Amino acid sequence: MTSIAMAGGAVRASIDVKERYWRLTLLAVVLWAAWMARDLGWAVVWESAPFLLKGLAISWVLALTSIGLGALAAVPLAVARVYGPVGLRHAAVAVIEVVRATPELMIVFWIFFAFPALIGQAVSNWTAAVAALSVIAAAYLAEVIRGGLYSVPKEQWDAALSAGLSRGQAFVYVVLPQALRNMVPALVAQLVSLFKTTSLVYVIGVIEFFRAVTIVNNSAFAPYALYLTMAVGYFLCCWLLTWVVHRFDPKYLLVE
Amino acid sequence: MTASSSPDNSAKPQLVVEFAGVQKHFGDLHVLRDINLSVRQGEVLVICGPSGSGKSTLVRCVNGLEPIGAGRLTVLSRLLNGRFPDLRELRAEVGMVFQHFNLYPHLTVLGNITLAPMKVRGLSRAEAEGKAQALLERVGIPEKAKQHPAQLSGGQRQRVAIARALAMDPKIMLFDEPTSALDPEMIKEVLDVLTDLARDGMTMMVVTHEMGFARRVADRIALLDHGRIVEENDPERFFKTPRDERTKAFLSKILSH
Repeated sequence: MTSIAMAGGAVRASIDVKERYWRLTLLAVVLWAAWMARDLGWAVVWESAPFLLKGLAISWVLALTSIGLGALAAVPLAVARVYGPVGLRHAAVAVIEVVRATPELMIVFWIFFAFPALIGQAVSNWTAAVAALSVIAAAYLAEVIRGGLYSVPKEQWDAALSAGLSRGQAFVYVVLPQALRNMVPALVAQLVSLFKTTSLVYVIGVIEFFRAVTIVNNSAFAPYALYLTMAVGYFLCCWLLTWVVHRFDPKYLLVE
Repeated sequence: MTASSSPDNSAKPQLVVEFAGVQKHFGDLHVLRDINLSVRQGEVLVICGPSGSGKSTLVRCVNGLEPIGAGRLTVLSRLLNGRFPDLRELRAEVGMVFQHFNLYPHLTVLGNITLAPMKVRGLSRAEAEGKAQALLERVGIPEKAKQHPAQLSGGQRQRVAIARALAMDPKIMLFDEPTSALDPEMIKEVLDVLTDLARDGMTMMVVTHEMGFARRVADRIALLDHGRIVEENDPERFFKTPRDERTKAFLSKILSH
């Protein structure tokens, strides 16, 4: 028993050593990259920082709004697809698969150009952006939720229903919490992807982070500094999303 | 409460479960064949038989987890083969314990036990938790209230599952192989709880291979084979003078090891 524990300690110690070398290497690379990048025209980035930050804020508003609205639509879509009667189920499948099987950019164009022609009324680029991103988020999140729902064993329904809970109560108190827990990894991947998708709406003139960087670069040519800033900006935002979702991830263990 | 049809149900024990000519198919598979079986109030009925004989399906019909095909099934004066039987009300009065416990892994032990009493019976959290704590006392694990199911042993999980079912004050308890997923040393702690329940007069239908338990606790034992009840008798006669060849074959297999 003791020897196993000691062996375990030794293994952990060697991992710690490797971890330390890895961090040192990473630090060296970052410092080297910073040194190489010192003359890339950072003044432009510095001067346009307020404009770029405003773009980044708009990206966040777009992401959070579309994820929020999308999630609201995604739950009924997923529930319809998994538990719905035949007609409703097929309708949900159609909506989800059509959105997922067409280019996201096309959906943006559809809502901004084609949809106004149908209803005979102009749609602002902001409305169109939020609507398109929400539709995209709804379809993809519905699939994430569906995966989560399938991951909950049928026996959980048996237990909840046999205690006298209604189907709705069984879903809300027993099945959904477990499904949410199981879908965390897929959810993280999807939220990161949706955050990056917000960059698409620059094509209809919404000045979010991507568009803001491009505008600055068009007037004061400094592609290295600006696109490096863009990469770091998107990376940090997606990393933050991942971190937040994992913060809310309950740490209970699942029974086999 | 639905009014009982018999005016003097105090005189003779009331029938709480009655199968009359019940048939059930899963596709082409004929899982229950002409089942005629009844359980009186306070009675312990043990159902045994080889695997695949339809034992689980039989008890799952009692609270409507499986719908029956042809025939009549009456549970607590409710006919279960109507078009839209009120299963929720029935299930609130019929407790069920499963082979694999089916505890809610995201809730604590207390959360598992209090969920249905709060949502179905409308108990306050304080009332429900007081009751849950008393039930945990009764099944012998009061100190586990704040833990999650994953932190418990199999025997402890099954006792939580029994407490969860009892929290609804059921009139009947169904047990679907409650000890089959347990390590041998944990079987006794669960069977002891079942024995106590039977002594307290609970009406029970128990699917089990534990023949020692059946002999000690059952009022009657039914043997199922290929969806048919081939023998139904009191324990004394079931073990000593079985009538059917299949009972003899089953008993020789299960008692010889």
